[in-house]
Amino acid sequence: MPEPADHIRAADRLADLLGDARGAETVRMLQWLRATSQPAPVTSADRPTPSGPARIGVWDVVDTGSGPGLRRTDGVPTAEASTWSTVRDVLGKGAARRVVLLGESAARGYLLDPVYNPATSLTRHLDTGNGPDYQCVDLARTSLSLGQLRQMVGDLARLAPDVVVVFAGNNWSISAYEGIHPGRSALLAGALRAGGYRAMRNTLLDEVLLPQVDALLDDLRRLRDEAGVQVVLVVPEFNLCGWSPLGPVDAVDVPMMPEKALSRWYTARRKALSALTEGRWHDLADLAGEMTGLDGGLSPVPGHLLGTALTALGRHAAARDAFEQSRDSVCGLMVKYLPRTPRLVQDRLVAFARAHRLDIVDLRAELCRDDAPELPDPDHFLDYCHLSHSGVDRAMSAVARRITDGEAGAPEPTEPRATAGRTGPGPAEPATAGGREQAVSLVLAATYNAFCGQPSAVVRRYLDRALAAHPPIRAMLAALDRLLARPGPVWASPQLGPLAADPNAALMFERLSDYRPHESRLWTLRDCLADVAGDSGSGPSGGARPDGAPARPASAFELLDITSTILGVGAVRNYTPPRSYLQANLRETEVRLALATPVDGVLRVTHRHRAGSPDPVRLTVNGTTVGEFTAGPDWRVTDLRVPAAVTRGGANTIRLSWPGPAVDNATRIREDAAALGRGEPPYVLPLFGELHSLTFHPVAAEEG
Amino acid sequence: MNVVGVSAFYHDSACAVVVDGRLVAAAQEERFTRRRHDRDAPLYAYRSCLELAGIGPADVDLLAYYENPRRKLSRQLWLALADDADPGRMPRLDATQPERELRERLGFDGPFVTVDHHEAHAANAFYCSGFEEAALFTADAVGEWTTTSYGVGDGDGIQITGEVPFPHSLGLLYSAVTAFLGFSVNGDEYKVMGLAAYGRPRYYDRLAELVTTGPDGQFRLDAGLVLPRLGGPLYPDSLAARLGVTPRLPGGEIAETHRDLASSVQLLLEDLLGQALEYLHSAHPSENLCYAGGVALNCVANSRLRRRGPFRHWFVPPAPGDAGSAVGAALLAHHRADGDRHVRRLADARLGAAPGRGALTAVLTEADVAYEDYTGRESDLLERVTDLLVQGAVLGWHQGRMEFGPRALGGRSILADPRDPAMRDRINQRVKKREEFRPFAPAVVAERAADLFELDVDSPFMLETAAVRPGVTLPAVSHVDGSARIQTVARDVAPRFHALLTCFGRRTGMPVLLNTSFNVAGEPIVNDALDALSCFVRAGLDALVVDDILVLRAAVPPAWRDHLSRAADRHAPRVHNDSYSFFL
Repeated sequence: MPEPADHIRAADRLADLLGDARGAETVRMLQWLRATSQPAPVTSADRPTPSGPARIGVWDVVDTGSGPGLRRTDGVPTAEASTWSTVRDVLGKGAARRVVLLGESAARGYLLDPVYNPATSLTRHLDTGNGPDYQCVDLARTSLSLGQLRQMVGDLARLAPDVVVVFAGNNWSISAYEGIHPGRSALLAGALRAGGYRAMRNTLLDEVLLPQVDALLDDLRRLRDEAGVQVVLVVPEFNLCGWSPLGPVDAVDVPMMPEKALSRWYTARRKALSALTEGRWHDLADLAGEMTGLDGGLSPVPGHLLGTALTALGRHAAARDAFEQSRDSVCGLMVKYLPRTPRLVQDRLVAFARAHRLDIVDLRAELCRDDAPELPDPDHFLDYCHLSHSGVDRAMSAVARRITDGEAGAPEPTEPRATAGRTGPGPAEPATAGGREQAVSLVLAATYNAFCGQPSAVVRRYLDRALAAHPPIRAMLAALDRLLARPGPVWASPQLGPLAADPNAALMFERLSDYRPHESRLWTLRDCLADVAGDSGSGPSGGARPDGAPARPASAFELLDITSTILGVGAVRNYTPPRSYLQANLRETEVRLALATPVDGVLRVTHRHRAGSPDPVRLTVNGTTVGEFTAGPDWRVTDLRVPAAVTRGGANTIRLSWPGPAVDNATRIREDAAALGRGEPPYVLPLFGELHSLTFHPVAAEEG
Repeated sequence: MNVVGVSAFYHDSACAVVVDGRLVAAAQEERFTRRRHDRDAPLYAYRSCLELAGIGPADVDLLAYYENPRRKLSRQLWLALADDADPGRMPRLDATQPERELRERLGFDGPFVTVDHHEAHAANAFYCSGFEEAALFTADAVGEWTTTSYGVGDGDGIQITGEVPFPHSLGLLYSAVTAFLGFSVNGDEYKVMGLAAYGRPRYYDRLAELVTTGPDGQFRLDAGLVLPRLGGPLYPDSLAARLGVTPRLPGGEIAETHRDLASSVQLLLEDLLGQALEYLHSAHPSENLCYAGGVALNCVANSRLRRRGPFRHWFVPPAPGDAGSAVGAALLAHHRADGDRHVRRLADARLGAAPGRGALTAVLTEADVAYEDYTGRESDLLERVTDLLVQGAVLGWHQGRMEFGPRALGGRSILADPRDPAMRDRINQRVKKREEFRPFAPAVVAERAADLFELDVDSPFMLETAAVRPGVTLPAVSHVDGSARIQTVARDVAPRFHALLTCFGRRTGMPVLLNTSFNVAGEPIVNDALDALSCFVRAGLDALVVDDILVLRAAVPPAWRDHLSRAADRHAPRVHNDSYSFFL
């Protein structure tokens, strides 16, 4: 080891040369070039190979005497093991045809599993009693990435499958964000500088995502050609009409754009929502078009509004295009969104299947409405992409048909567009879940949708469906209402036992064990539960004792959930790390205040607006303006008196309406390009204002 | 003037707030996020400390960071080049990241200063010591280029006068042997310290051959002992042959050779520290020593060296490691900016939040769990708790503000009767689920400490060891060598805890309790009352005391244990770390 004295001086000088932002980027590029200029070992994620260890997912491949089987690997940490199918051991297939199901949470039957899932449905549909025997092997994994899927496909030949069903795609456009190396981030930064966020997005999708999708498809084709395996591709569908980008919190409205355009966009949005409320569909369509013109198709809002308008006007094909535009707008934008398969991936799957004669089941056709085949039926979904009992049943019925058709020779792939409709009933009678079974899954869906920030209209629809399916489910709703209304973690609630009685419900509520719902953002669910299960007497909107709140709060309390949100401290819906304060990326920030009775008080707001807009911030309580204040570039504290007359017992809604953005568009793009250069995620979103704290001080406590 | 100090992005991130030169709040991020040794920006700790200080973000005048990123980059670049490291495995090398990230994530736009890492350590000790002047000594694995520093502190501040450069490091030496013994680097060194008492130092000479001492407090480690690199074990493969000992695999059986090696490295560390302190005293002949850095957590060495001299008065802060550097950075930055220095000895490490019992009673009431409320009846509470302790109960004790630093000092403690010979094994096996050789510590009323232990100083932060006096029988807190790591509890600092010890002493003649941190293996110490409730249930404690509320295990619904047991299965397992993580 060299004597370091001289080396320290030299290294100090080197650090001086490389110690600024430019130096950091220089070092990063050198690191990456050095790393990628050397021959690297080919990993199974890069290229499928059958020569690795005899393991697939969390199973070891074993010789059973009747062909290869699987044995679940011991010692896999529970957190990892629980993401995989619960299958333990798989016997040799003997004379049966082995059908392997690969896929993501939709393939696992999220919110249904283990009571029901695609694998059990497929088994039922294949088990006709007339044809050959089938052995369905469920190897699906929640949150499966594109790379993991490729690895599994590469390892699959050793299991000697006859059929592989790939029900995946929803995670792929998010997977593309992972492992953005300097070469690619430089590409993205260049695209951002040259053409803004739209160019960055297109570059990511075209030059990062699609090549990975193509590589997977090549792997599958090779599996078919080299191992003689029938490959069935399932093209995922999205709950286009039943998923809203208009949630009051945790939503992405629009990426950053020039200030005047942003102002006009929000003006149009406000008018559009009025038009929506009043059913003025033509006005709504016009306003949505104006918004899209401004945002360049990068916002999920106008497409959804336009789709709603066009649906109301009976123009279903056009409505589908609008909803798809809404769904796809955020893909590749490097903001957080829930899984979905964008059109370009759907089309890629279909085109590849046609070109290479792979079998395909297009859920756009299988899950459509009977009265409007261009649109998916929301009843087939439990959220954005996970399927209900009926959705799973339809999807797997079609897969079973494709498998049994495949035995007689490869058919032409079905027409992918939704206008083709379904191809007829499956060979087995559709499985009908019991009323309670359906109702439980719908209660879970309501909970999950609320957790995802869906508006009350969406959440309420699931609760209503649950009650319609099985009226006694009201008891479960009341238990859930009490769970949310009382303080403490989920594990300590007496309601956990009855709520977790069903295996699929246990999975959800026990995973939330440490969660403290009374500090959470599940207000929408609480509002809805109060409406439908109000007899529990604890609902925040109408109940007598909301939220465990004292009859008269004795002291000030914080209203921001920065320290409790499960998404992390001060989470912003991009990939930047969390902050110790809340950043408002929507024009309005909504906060709830639970009170037992109307009470005088003071709202103390600790706020900042980095640009120091001369326009005021307006604060309303339950729609009544209680004050305005000017936010500056430094943190300030403002006290606003809240008369008891504007408050009410139950949940009160506080809204802050921010002035224009605190960071201008050119600065945002420059900073985001620089962040990409450093290997950090871009911010992308507008920043309207910031809150460090929002506390309510009852006047009695103030004066006392 | 309000100064915030921050340590972050390595391990044990923390935040501290100094108001007009007074330390008013300090907290570690791990207590809030429940991720042990959390290294991320201290977001929760920042909010908590501001709230405790009664200030908002607009009131922060200065933010002080606990190391110099550019000098750290220098060492990182040198190491990467010297090690011919695989660039694909290297972290991002960006000296601008700490300031940029802290400004953004804490929302801070004001003046930002950096303090050299060992300055922050030294300041943590000096400004909390109450000494007018003192010699300063720091030792850890590495900070920027420095592993060991010598200096002096007085009314003008602190001055570092000598340093030992990386990779010659007492911390790395100890960590290399820690890894060799199958424990985790940067966290399990205290296990080696505990194991040392069970062995004989028969590998001392072979270890010592690998260290060369020089003038002016310098020393050099042989490349055959420590292998600083970006990945892989911290020690070279050849070390096994040099020592004649087979490395222990993580979780493997602990053999006599392992105990003896632990004993040897402990003795070698003490000798090297002794030589360093001799040098320091010759350079700065003060009676007072301020000592910090991760190595200062080795309380066995501290006590032996203090008794050996030459310094008569020692001060080691309650969080001498990197978390405490947030305190040091804030206090030093304040002194430099304001010119004013408060000479005041830190007597109470409870610098964190006091979340209160409100949520707990609401949960208990909702679940129909019986509890006893002693509000306004403290003496009844203490008698009741003493009853339980005398009957052999192990109880969780959650009172007031949270401690800062790795030791539970009566704010977030598990307490038990130290006279019970079976208690140590019971707690190690059933409650804490940890190695049987690890000792527990006693808390004792300060005025009786010298009667029961051969202790000649106060030890409010549990950083001193001393022999249990002959005739005193405290098997649950006596180590195999008859020593104990002692916390002395003063009446004016922790009146309720002192009163409990006194009550227990009245009943048993022994005002001493076994005091260990309120957590289970792999988790941080509990923060709020609901964390305490969860830990109480999972650890199977006999009782829980939160402020004036007492809950007995018999009242706990079985469903709680079932739910929490299943939830615990889902937690990711703790990752063993034998790699060189000091690059970051």
